[in-house]
Amino acid sequence: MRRVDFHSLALLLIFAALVLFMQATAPLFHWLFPDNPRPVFLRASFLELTLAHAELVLVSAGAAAAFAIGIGVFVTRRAGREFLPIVGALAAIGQTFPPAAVLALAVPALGYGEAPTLLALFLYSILPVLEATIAGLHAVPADIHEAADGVGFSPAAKLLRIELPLAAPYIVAGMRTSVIIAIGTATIGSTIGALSLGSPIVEGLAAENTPYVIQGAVVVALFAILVDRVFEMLERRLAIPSRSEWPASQPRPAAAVAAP
Amino acid sequence: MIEFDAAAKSYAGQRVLGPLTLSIPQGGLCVLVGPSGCGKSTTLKMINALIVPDAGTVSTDGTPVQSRSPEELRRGIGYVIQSGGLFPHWRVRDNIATVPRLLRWEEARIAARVNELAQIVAIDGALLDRFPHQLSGGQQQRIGVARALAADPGIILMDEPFGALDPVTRASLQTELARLHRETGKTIVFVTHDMDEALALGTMIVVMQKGEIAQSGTPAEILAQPRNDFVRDFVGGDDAALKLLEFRTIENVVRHGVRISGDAIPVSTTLRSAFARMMAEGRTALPVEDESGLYLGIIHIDSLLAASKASCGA
Repeated sequence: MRRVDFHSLALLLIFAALVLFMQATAPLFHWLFPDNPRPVFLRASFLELTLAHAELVLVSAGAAAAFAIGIGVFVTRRAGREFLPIVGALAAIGQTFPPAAVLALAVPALGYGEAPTLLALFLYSILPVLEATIAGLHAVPADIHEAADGVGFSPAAKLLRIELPLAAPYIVAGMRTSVIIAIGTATIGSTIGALSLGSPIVEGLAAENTPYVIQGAVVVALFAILVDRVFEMLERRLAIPSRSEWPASQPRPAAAVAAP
Repeated sequence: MIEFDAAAKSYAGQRVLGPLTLSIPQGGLCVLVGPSGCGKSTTLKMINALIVPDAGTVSTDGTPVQSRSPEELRRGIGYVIQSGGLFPHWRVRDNIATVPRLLRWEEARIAARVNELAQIVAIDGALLDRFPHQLSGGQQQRIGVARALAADPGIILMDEPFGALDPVTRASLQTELARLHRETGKTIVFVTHDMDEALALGTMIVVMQKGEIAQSGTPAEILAQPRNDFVRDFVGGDDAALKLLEFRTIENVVRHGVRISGDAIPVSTTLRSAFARMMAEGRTALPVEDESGLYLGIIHIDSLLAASKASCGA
């Protein structure tokens, strides 16, 4: 891997400083918004908000990735091949639902707070990983399948030791997309009471307190960029040293996912 | 010993192979040769159950291949494919160790075996820690052969293994395969569409056409007595007579006589080389000596022609 690049390091330091010492920006915001009596969000610390936000993303995107990889593996096996078209269609439909609609529908069933947010993020995070898993498994060349069968791998051993490692760069690219989307979408959870970096944004919008919106948006954007960098490093490390036609990764998701 | 007993295969109601009955002797190097789509690869893949016949049986050493689990069967049969089929995410060392690992050998034994195989297939030990894409096509194919040999199987299947290589690399790998076959005594089944490759390697040749055996026999038999026009064309028509010269030495053609001038050729020279030599030197007779350099006699172009005609006509 490359040596630590200073750009990422600088972003990390700014992010950490803002998360830990947001109050220190008070003079800046006083100066920018002289009429605002409380220009720094204080209901919860930004450390608390960031941890809650990370937890939402980690739990939902993690569960979605595990689920999506499992389904992706199933529909590429002989037994599950006939489900491939319907699974693809269902996942695509899931993606067309706006997150706000999922939240609105989930609230009556699950109440306010974290649970409906987790559900919406979970549903949202499935498709990118599912598509990537299917694409990655399909991209394993036919001669590699033939060689693996020919030397006597059992189907399970072939999956674990040949197919999934070769599909890993695709799968990680899919997880990168889904996690970045989840980081942005998790902010919406605050409209139904989940604590996240969306809380200052939502409160700021409701109370017409622009500094809150700026503080939440900057921190969540930095968070998304940093996580994207981590995935970039991971992809580079997983890249299969291989034939030239192997794609480096799927199209990169846009990193700047700020407040909705 | 590999036996096909009326083995047949159809896809979507279309018969692509057989019924095929064939016996490949222990220790032979049997080449399945024929044009694309003649069923030679299908035949090969029935031996390690990658393709299962709809009718008839295939057995190795008297045991039907279907009576064992496919994994167990395949771990006992080496398999080499055209592209090499090396696992791109594993180092060369781990690619070679594939089957021993599946068979759960101890790591120390595997490491020793990998080094031994590197010598057998003439691969520099420094390449063992590289990834497959860092090797040339010829080197990859050597690794493919090493992987097939790793657990010392009695049977090796090779599906157009040298088809994608340049002619020089291909010729050198053919030579080494012939050596490997002599030294190990393994039963090798080799698929190619190149008749010259078949003639160069095979102890037994099976010419296939449209899913059936057009003719099987030794290279000399196929060349000398093609059973039908298809085989005759496939072995090169009238060129077959030239190719056949490769399979006989001048030993029985030497006449005693007074030593003539010029460099003597050894008695193990093939008819073909003797002809070539005469053409190159513009002479109709050459002196012959035995392996130790003792003068034996001469060969004359008339006796060469007679011998060639005899082997062709027979």
